[in-house]
Amino acid sequence: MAKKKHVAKKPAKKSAKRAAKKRVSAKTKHPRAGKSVLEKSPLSKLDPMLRLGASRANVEARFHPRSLEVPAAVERPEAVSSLPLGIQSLASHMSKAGAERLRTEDLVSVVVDCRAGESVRDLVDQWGGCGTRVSPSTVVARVPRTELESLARLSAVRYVEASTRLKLHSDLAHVSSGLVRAGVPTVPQTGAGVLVGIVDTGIDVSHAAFRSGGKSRIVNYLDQFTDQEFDSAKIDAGDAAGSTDTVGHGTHVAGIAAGNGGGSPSSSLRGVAPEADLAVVKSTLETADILTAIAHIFDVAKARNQPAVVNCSFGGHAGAHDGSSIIERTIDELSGPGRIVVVSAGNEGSDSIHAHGIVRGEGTTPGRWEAKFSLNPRMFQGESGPVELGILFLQVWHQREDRLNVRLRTPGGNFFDPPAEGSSEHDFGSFFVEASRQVHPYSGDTLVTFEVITLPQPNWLSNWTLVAEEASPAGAAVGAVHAWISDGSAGRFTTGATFEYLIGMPASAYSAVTVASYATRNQWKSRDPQNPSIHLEALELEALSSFSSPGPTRDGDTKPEVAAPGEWLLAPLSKDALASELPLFTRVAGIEYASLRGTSMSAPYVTGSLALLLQKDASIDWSEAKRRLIKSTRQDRHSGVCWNARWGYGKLDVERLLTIEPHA
Amino acid sequence: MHKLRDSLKRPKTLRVIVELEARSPEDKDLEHLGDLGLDVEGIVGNKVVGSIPAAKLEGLEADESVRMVERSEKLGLH
Repeated sequence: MAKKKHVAKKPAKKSAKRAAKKRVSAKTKHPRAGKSVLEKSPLSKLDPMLRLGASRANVEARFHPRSLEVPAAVERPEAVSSLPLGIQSLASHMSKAGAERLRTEDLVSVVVDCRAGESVRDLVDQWGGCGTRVSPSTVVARVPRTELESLARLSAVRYVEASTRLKLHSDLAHVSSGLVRAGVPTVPQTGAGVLVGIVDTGIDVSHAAFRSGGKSRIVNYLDQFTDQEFDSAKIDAGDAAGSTDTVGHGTHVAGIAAGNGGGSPSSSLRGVAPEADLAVVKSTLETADILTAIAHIFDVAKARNQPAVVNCSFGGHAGAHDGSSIIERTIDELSGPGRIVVVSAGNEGSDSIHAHGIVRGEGTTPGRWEAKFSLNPRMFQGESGPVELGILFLQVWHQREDRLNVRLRTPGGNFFDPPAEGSSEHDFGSFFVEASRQVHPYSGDTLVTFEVITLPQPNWLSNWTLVAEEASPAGAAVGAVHAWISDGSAGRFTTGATFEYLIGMPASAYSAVTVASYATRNQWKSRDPQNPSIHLEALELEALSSFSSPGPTRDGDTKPEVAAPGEWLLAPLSKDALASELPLFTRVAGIEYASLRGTSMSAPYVTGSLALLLQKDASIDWSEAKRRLIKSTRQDRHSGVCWNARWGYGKLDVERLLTIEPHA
Repeated sequence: MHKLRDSLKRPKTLRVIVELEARSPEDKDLEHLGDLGLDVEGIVGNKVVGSIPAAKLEGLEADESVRMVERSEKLGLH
């Protein structure tokens, strides 16, 4: 479905179709792949679709001056003023005669692969068309149909491709999630009357996707860096212009959940709840501030007498991984009827940051388990300047009732034991180890931590071993040991790693809806001159994203609950996003949208879906929301039998979600 | 190595989340936290967000009005 090319659909004449099919099948090589049989004829350089001359509609697409994505089925306009905005803009840059031709002539949108792009573009202009050189070897142009063959005959031209309409009327994700069928929304809900909360890197308040009727749809914007708070009137007055989103993450996330498609052709790139109100917190992403940010959004909702769903597209791997951290329990306390929190599962699905084993012996032999790990050298700021070191923080959890000795074996073979309680440290000369042991006040489990600091020599960076042994035969009733490296950039387990239990904090909050990711898009037109057409052929659509963190939680909670589209979603691009944050290839050509992936993207998809649900029933709490989500999911050959650790209960199905009856 | 470790720039003040035994902290509870060295920034239920000199952290953790102290962790975007 998603691999189809989407062109304006008018039936071509059968003979033309057959001829085109024949030509396509005769094309044995890609034109850029070198000499092919078709290169003997200039006409072979024409996209077969462009030779379906009898069926004008198949290639007719009005030129969008900054994009290859063109509005569908735009009929020939009466006058320039009635042309779509993009074409008006183009016309305004042309001579009067040129604009008139644009209006009346039979022009075809093409993408030209060529040498000497400037000269090709000039020629197109001379013919009464118009073109833009988007890279040294690519020109997008609108060419008189009568000149197509002339264009193809140019020696500098390697290939002329029809500019086809991409499937943008609603993102591909909406088709996969059941939100849209045949271009039409399947549900009447739009999120109207519901507050969508976004705790993130900020938002581009000026983006058209967050404005409606000339006013901001953001009813509250709190900047935790400056402690400034803005309502929509202040935003409209320009007061929030300084609270920019230079990362671009928050703007994208907000757009997935609740963008209205503003700034995209025919508002096609709508978010899931395009009429919801927005409350956004530009957060430091420290747990202390996240906690207050979520509380703030629910306060705003209460003051406005609105139900609210808050999105958290972030996480970490400190903590008990069982929902017992303070921030997670606060999420539980803040959630309730009409107040739901959605959290991304995490992007550590392929990271060796967790090791797990059962330490239980047989008979008189004590059980033993070990996992090796290594550190990555990194630069740190010292008192006298930058210094390169390996620094790794390891957390080891086991049940308090299990009498286990958890130890560290150094690369040199020495053992280091944590104290029975409290902390201790030891300087080994080339490395330094600090260890602690405590009983966690909420889970009641034992937590042993090790901090290793080592010089960056290879022999000290690798071959570290975490060892857990029964203190005596039958000392462990369960014997389950879990160890996490808090920061994946610090190091990894080289043995004992299990690619499960990777739901971090706050995703393991009991009440939170935790969201995995799967792929729904693998191509788009980018602004990168080196890669104007991104096509990730190896990425299988509808398959789970390799990065999506699997569950369950350490205490066996079945998280994630649901998987949603999260791999390459098109959503609003912050005008302030730095190139270092969002490189050119992620930026969609011609429109202020970006293509990003992550469970950061799948979580807001569910956030928007729950906004639709809250519009239907404002009193739904997280428990009922989860019940309906779980009951409405769909399974396929990719997900397999659900629940499973990677997919949760299956793929989000928005249409079914909104038809599930209340719990009797 | 010890010297090297100590030369690493470590924050002298820590941001923390403090969970109190009291369900709804009153002014006197907050004053008490102030006496323990906590600079209170905000309150959500019985959780108090604030910062404290690293040297005073143990005293805060040991106080009987305090149920649990967590360092404010910087989380990563997904």
